[in-house]
Amino acid sequence: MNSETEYIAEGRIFHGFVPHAMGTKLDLLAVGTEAAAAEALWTAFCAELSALEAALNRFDPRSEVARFNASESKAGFPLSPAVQRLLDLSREFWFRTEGLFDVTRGHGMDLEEAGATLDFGGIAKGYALALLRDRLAGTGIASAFVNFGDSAILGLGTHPYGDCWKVSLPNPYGGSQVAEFSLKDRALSVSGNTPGYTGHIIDPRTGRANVERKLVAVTGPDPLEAEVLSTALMLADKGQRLRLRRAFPDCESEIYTV
Amino acid sequence: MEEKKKGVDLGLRKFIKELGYMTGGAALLSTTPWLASCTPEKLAEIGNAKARVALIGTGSRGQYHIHNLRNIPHAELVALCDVYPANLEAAAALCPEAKCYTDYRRLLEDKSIDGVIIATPLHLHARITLDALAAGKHVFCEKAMARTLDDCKAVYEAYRNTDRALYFCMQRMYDEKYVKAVQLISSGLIGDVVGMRCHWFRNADWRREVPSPELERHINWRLYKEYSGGLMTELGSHQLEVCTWVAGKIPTRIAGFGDIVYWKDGREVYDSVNVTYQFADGRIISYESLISNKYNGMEEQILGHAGTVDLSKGVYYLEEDNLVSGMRQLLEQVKTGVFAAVPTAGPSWRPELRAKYVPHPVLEGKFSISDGESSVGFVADGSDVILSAFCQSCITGEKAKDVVEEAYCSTVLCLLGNQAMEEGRTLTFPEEYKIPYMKF
Repeated sequence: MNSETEYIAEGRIFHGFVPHAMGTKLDLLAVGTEAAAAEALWTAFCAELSALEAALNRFDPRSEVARFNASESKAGFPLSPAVQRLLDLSREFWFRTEGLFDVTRGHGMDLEEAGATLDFGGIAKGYALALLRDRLAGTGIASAFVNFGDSAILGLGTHPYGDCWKVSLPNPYGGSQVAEFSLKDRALSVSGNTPGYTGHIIDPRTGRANVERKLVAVTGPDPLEAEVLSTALMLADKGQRLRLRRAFPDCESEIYTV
Repeated sequence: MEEKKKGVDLGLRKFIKELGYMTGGAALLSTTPWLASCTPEKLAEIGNAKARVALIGTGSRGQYHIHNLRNIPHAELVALCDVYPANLEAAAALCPEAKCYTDYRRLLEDKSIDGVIIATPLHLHARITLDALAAGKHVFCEKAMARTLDDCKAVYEAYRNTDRALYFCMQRMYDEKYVKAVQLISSGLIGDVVGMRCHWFRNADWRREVPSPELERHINWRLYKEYSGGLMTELGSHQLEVCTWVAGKIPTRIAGFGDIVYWKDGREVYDSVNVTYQFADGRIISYESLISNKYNGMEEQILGHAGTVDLSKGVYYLEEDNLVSGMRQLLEQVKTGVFAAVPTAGPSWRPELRAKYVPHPVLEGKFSISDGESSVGFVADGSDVILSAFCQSCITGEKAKDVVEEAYCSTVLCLLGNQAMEEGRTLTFPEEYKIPYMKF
């Protein structure tokens, strides 16, 4: 996996950048760290991210998920511990979101059902962020900002000159910004459509793509929960929204029509 | 009178004043030195003086100028001239107080006329311009400068040796959105300019109705080589001027292809042209015009390594937009001790999609853009402002810097483009047509 790093000695800031991962890019800004420690953390994380992508990329026929999707007998397919863990987490989220979050693409987590295939696209980035968060904690880095493709963001501790990390959400259709978020040990997940990329969130109940000019932003301590909830809220009706917010009490969410 | 106060001039004053505020007067005049002769302060100095101007060539473009002149308080249209009675009558109906001529030489004998506006077919531009300057008139002539390279040189030399003001209607130089965009480019908005792409597509035969067959070549002069350089001089001259304005340089090599592809109606000029101009440093202007398909419309794209400006639409696009560069902003913040929100959140960023380009307007508020379909002119495209500046020069006698030079450069490039297409070879910019203004 290609990556670039730089170290700003003044301020002891490490910046790592992966230009291509899971269809997008990733930036890490770690504050108050020695260069060597940050490099070691970064190298290990990149290897982990690379392995995760190799396993989950359903468009790569060699990937574990693609091979699983192509297999005749899914029950007998030996899943790796990482993918099995993701599948278990996804099952839990499917239940908590009343089926709105469904990695089996509308098959209700029933992998034996004909046509059921796995797609971890709605959870993989959040999962990777959680892995990186744990590594940062393990290295004793308390302040860091991670941006995984703009839609999955993690602010740990504080900006070196502030009391949190501040992020704003521009309107992808142009015009003024939609919202601003202050992150301190919180993740932000944004779901929605853009002028150039619409219809990528599929409603598992109908199989239809959501094409609304809508953005959902969710913040919460857990990047996985935030990512799952933002996707589910894109599809939820009014009643479901109320219940979803109760099911994810640690998260704050907002829906914007743009 | 109240009506006139709302006209071109208030727009001009406001325009230059605002540009001055935005950039500091000095910066304004360094990227657009021709505006130095028409600042609001200088306009105020002329008081109630009026330029007595005459219009030679009263066809559709001439009549367009009449409408603009009506909104210029310091202009008085006192004479009209045309050899074609129908056009002369139509113009006279618009301003009955003006004296009518059929021979421009008689018109030039009128000592009370300060300046002439020439809107004739192209082949007459040089002769009438030279005669008018010789008669002591200030001259405003339609683009392009002249039909031939030698005529361009003759006009340029005459201009060097006269104290009269001379303008060619390079209206983009007086169009607010162009001026602002070129300033943004020179301020580094789009990084290094790496290339330029201009095109003008229409779907129309470019013909005017001819009441009687013997008038065909005169009325449809644009279609015949004796009078016209075709698409290059009629459309390309504006767009190539913008390119040399932005580049501050002149290309050294010219090659192209052209032909009559669709409108095979006896015309002589190409209805499809594609000319490549290369600068000495390797950069290219790609120029294209076709009048049997209008899908691509009219665009003047300045391509920079960090962004693109479409001058004709008054918008720019950045290669790395806010959505993408939030992390860079954050890095700058932590390096410089600033704490602010970074605009980086959004639905998932995806690489290399053209649609990620977001248009940013170069000016605040509403402004007019042309779709390029009209063959007469477009409202508020700078034609009114440059004409107002000319009328001001008729009173002050002050020349507009660089306008003639820019017109010379673009017209020579158009004519060389035609030559390259006709001869089917790559031309090197000829020594004999270089002028000191040109940098290569």
